Amino acid sequence: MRLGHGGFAVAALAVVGAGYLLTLAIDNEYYFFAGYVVLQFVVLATAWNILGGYAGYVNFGSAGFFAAGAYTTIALLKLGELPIYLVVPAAGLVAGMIGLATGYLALRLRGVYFAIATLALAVVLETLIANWDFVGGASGTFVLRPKSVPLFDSYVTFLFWLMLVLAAFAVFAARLIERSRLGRGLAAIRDDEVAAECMGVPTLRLKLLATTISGALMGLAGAPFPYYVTYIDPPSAFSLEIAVNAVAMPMIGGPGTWFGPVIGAVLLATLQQAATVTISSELNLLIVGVMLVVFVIAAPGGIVGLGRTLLARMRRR
Amino acid sequence: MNAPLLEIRDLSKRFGGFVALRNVELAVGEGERLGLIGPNGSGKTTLINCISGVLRAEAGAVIFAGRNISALPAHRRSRLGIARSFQIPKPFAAMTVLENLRIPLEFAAAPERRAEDPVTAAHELLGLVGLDDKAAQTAGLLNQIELRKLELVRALAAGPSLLISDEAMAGLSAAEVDEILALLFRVNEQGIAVVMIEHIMRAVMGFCERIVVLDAGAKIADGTPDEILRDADVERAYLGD
Repeated sequence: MRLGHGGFAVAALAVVGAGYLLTLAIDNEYYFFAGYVVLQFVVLATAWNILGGYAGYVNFGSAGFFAAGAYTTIALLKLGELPIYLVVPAAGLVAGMIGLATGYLALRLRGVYFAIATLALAVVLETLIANWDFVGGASGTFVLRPKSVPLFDSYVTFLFWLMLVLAAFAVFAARLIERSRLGRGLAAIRDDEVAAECMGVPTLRLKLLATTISGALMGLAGAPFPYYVTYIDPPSAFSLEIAVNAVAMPMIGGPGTWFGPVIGAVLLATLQQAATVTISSELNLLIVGVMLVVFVIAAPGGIVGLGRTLLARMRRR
Repeated sequence: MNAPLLEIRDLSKRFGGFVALRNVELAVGEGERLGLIGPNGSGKTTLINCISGVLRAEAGAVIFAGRNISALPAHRRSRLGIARSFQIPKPFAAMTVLENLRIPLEFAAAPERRAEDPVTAAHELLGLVGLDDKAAQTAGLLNQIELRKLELVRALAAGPSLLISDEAMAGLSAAEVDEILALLFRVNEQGIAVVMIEHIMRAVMGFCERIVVLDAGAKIADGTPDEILRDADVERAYLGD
């Protein structure tokens, strides 16, 4: 059963439609409050996977791109009462530009050096934001949500649905890339960059495309964040939780496939949300940390890789 | 004589204080079979890295098909028709054998060849070296001889006019060496110039029309296999005084 891109787009739209119906059917707002976070990590994990899973370049600075999106929203709201459907694409654009710049600066580095450079980028961005008073500086800033949105019961359900749209878009884009010439070129870079270059793959250009797309999607994930938390400061936007989850979720789900990050994000983020309610919010990173160590050692292909191995074994019998 | 396909002019390359290539001059004619030999560390691989664009030389020029390509990145050179294999095979290990061939077919081949169905073209190429039954296998699981064949056929996929084969036969059995040699002869019959770097003298002497010898980064001899065998400088480079 192979779904074409058109068919997949229809399926994605159906999910978005079903999500809207859910917001009408379920009264308890908490589910959407928690669901937003899960979907936010679907977008982040998918975005990370485009550079990390497809091209093999590990980005530890995801929180920087996420925060770039969030603070674009803040900056635009400070400039004027712009509607959210203009703010979100603008945030994606800004984070994409930062992704492109990162690519130019850092992509001549390989392996662990690139990873360190992305980490440094997030620190630099955080310092800049903390010293930029227009967006609240180190003390942070408040965002006033609009009182109501047409068609939705509350602003939280609207934000949930908006993030569902972004998640559907991100996953569709990732799947499109994975099955395109671009995706095959990135896979060649991941397997052997010198050989790829000698086989005609314009490695620098493809890597720049990947950092740009990946950065833009992370910015989209961060754009509604100020509306969600209503108070934002640099530590919350540049949080360790975001940086760690963005790496761990695709790694645990299965890097290099479009559904791996989706599985990883839904599984881990749901677990984290449940742990937050039932035990404590401090436990979140511990869960992820332990699972990441277990998977990296025992199943480097993630859940998807594990599933494939089991399937192949069953077929052989 | 026509203008050569590949011309190296006064090429020098250093790594820090170490001079890897010193004023090397070299020409390869269209459809020629050229051997490039020399002791370990004499600069053979550095030279082909400078030709394929993996490295840039500090001085001198690389002229290919009448065009100075010294400043072009490797992927542009591959599109002009320069193909190479690697001394240590560099398969795209996580991809299938078929997908390995898709990369040069989709990225390096001339536009009219790119328009063809890459899957069919890849199967044809694999048939050429008897790897077609391995098409769906992960390339990282191939054995040595299969890896060497994949390495060569992947280099050929884009339809080059020059193939640089960097020790494609190292570590293979005598029968396997013959198999690779036969493949290279077939490639050459299609008009593709072949530059062979090899330590297996039987292969070099049997295959090449002309041999160039490098020693310590400089060209010390250039002639037919017979001339090279009788050359005093070559003997000294390999055996000492």
